[in-house]
Amino acid sequence: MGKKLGTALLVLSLLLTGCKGGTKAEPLTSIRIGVSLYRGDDTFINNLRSVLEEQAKAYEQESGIKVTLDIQDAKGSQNVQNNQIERFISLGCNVLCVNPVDRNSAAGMIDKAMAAGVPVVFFNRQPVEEDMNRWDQLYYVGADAKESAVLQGTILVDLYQTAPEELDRNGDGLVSYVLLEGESNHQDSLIRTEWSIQTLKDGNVPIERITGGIANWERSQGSALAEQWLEAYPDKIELIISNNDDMALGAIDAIERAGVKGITIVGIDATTPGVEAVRSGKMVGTIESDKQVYAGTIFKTAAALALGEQLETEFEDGKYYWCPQRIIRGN
Amino acid sequence: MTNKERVIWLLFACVLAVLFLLSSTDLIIKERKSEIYSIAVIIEDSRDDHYVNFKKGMDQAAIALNADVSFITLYDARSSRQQMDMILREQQDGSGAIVVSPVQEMDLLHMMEQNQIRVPLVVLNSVRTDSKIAAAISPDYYAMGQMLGREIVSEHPLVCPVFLFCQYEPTGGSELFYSGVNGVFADYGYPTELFLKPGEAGFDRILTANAAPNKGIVVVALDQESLVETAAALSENSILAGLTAGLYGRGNGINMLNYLDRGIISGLCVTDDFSAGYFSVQYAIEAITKKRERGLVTLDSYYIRRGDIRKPEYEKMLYPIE
Repeated sequence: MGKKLGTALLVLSLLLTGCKGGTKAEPLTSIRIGVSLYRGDDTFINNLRSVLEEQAKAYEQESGIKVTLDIQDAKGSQNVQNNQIERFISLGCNVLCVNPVDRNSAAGMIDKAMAAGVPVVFFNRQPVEEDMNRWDQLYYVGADAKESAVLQGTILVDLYQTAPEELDRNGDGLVSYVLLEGESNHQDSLIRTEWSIQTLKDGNVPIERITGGIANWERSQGSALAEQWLEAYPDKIELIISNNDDMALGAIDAIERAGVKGITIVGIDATTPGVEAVRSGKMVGTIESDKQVYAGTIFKTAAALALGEQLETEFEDGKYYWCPQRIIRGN
Repeated sequence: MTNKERVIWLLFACVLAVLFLLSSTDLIIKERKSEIYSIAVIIEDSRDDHYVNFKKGMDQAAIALNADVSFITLYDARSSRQQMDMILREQQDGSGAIVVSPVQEMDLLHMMEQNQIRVPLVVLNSVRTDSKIAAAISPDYYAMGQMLGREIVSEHPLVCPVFLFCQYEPTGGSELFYSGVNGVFADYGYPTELFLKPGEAGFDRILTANAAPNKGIVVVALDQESLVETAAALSENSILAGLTAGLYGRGNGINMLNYLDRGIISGLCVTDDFSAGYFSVQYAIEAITKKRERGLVTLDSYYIRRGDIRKPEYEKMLYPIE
């Protein structure tokens, strides 16, 4: 009886456990990449998204591997983004490309991706180091905020050295500036602000801060702040330093509405309208991170991870890639 | 251990096993599987700029109706051959239904006649009711053209020349729109002229060579590409803007609405693209599940001027919130 009981339990346990036969992995003929953007109406992110789509099409034509890019807009909500990540995973995405809404809340997304074994390429908004170190299938592609800021400062230092009257319009020996800053919880805002000003100081430009404010990377908010400052400090503002082009363009809108002249404006990102503003002389310069390289690195990394291939790009500490940047000046 | 005890132990083990099977596996109680419907949406363009609101509706339907929707643009805009290849590829890759905005309707019909398409097909921007089409979703382009023509005539009561701009020889929706608008101008005696690829020919050359003193030229863009291109040219060149009495067209992309808001475009015919996107997914699923035989959705058209953009009834349609 004891033997029979043992045998019955053994059979039962085998039934419950089940047996999985090994199958030989076949090379993939199609890959699916889920892309979640923190906000689809951000001009820089939109530019990046266009290049990403072009790169995917070019890759598909070149390699014959079908690429499905699921691009979703999180509309500035971390909850929406978390749901998008869940949906991407349930739809069988091979890899995720995530532009996090809140860089401090990437842990939840990482947990889901780790559980499903889906690698993640973060971009533009860098998750905290602690989260990035949780898994070896997490990567980050971005532009070095300090480098952007130093280059932005360099535009102004060079301008001051060649034509100081372009910055010090009233000739009082001081360049009076206001600062348009991005989101307070975005790592780039703080670093861009700090190093842009530091570069001006290092370049011996005599500067005086009038005021500053957070415009959350947005053109409309940049415009509203600049409008207030133009009223509050008439004929005082000589320079507007903006953490990005969209806010700088907002300031230009306000300046044009107020009919004010003689204020120098500088941005970062080299978005299409930003570069247009530099070409037309409305902005003194901007900083371009090569979007072909930027989006190309995101896409190639994602494609290689999806196909289980060796990564082409060399990642710093095996995780970080910093996109090259350059100055775009007006004539 | 007595026999009775052994039986009790065996029963106990069996109860445990049954409980395990009930709670942790689907051997006894089958878990209801919610089916995900795979749908491919293939447009006629290489970019999705004119499909922003459509995609919002499509995404909304995908979540609400449990669909996995792939939105596909062509490698080269308006390449019918590529579009046909994409349809076959998506069919082969397991799409349950295909939504397509055809580059050339005739090519699509030819494919259907040859029975190359074996999955339900939802056609956008076409009012064809072929028996092999599961659903057609489109505005009535002819009526839309007539509506625009009548609005222009009422805004410009004095007879003036009308230039019709189009990127390609009008086909499909553009052809019907052209017939509608041109018919109204013919009835009222307004002289019209069609220009293909006006950007390549040069807006300044076309408008200055045909300048009508004291009248101005009314420009009607038959397709969205021409409208955006012409609006951009007029916004950059005040002399050209001075030569035109008004720029009109159809479409509700963000860039077009911005030009309308800036007064560069005088009037637009718009449709509810969000609903078109939603319906396309809904009808595709209904075709997959065989809940509906065939569907024909004719989208309403509206004529809007600058001041209408922020009216609540239009704002909801033009800037839908998902």
